[in-house]
Amino acid sequence: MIKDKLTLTDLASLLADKLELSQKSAEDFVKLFFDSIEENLLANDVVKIKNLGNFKLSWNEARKSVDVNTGDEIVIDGYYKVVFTPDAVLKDQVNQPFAHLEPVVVSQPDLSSPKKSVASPTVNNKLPETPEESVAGLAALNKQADEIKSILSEINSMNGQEETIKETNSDKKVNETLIEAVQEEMTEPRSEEELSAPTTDDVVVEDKLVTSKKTKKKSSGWFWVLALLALIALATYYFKDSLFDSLSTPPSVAVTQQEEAVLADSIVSDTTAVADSVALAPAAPVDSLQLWFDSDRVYNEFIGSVKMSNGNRLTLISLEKYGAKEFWIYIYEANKDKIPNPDLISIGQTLKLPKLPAYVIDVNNPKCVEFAKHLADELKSKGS
Amino acid sequence: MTYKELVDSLSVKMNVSSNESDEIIQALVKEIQNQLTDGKTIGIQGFGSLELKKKEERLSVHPATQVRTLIPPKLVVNFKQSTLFKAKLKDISK
Repeated sequence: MIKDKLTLTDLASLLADKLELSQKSAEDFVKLFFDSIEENLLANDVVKIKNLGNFKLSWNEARKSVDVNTGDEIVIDGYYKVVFTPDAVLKDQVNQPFAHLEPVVVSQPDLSSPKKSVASPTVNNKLPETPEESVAGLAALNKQADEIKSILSEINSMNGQEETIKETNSDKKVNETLIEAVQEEMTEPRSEEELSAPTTDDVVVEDKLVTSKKTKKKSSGWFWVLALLALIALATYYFKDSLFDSLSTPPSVAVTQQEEAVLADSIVSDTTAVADSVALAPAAPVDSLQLWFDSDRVYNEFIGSVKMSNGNRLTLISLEKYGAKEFWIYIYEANKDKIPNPDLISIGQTLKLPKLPAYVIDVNNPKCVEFAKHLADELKSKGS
Repeated sequence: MTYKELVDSLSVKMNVSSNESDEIIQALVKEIQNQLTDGKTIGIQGFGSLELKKKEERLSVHPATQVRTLIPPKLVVNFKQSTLFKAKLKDISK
């Protein structure tokens, strides 16, 4: 009967047969051989054996874990582990049965259009445009984007001045909503994938407006006129407001915002339709995101609050509420005054959950996640 | 520890010349190789075991170039330390 597992004794008898040694001395030798390997390993030394391979120790760092039964946090101590790297000779000999096989490069499906399929359903109704028309449309679009940018930068600079002069609460709020509205519009040059989440989110509530939007889409000429009108209205609205800066009318602000959202949505689907037909990438990307990143984030609206319980963490809350754990930093920022250290939050404390624009917590947009991580890193380096 | 040091230390302990020691070690290594190639497992009490494992074929995708490559199956030698050895290693980590 063939035994599958060889012991030290079996190995020694094979060796004794081969070299015509006595069984005892062969056994002694094999024992000594492995003992000295062990000894050297315990002294944290690498043991190299010709034609066999290298034995060495690798250090596994201590790590935190959770007791499966009790749910308590435990620490697994760091420990050494023996790693064996077979010598090339051994490797080749052992792999003889498969030695003739070579890695094969697999031909693959076309990679040139990888991301289009992720688009939202709103983009499905494309405008029937000839190439010439769409080029013109694109040019008009770029122009419009430039306009919006200049308005936006104006708003930004004025914002800075106003905040130093006067900080009435109502004024600030209006500015913010306006910026948000403009941001909604500014989302147009971004790729459709990034856009699908925010725009749909914002418009979901407004069934009526959505239907009217659909009718708008049918005539592109009407649409451009409307878009321009909206821009002008927005600009005048803002300037009027900054002149008589205490008179704020929240309901109308809300209405414009929704209109803008809807408009932005239709612009978006236009953009993608145009980009599709001309196969041109949209121009300046992710301006609204950048704006959000650069601004001092102030959280005035909240979607709820959470009472900290044992074992709960900011990351877990973030994962539940915003879809990814990286966005915990925003919860922290909104509760900065209450949390001295995000790693140590006392149990029973109530945390407010800030309302975040959907495009900021877009899990599918790597920029969002990256920025949140970057914020967290910054905080860490500040703390240490 | 290099191979030479191992040969020397064994030659001292076994009271043989280093040439003989080298020969014996190479014979032993050859034997281990052959047994592993036959698909047998070598288990040394208190040290660990050497075993042949089959790695299944797999499809790898180059992260940068997106080139998909079919990696053929292969046989590799796997070393697993014994629990006794593990306990000893735990002691030195403290």
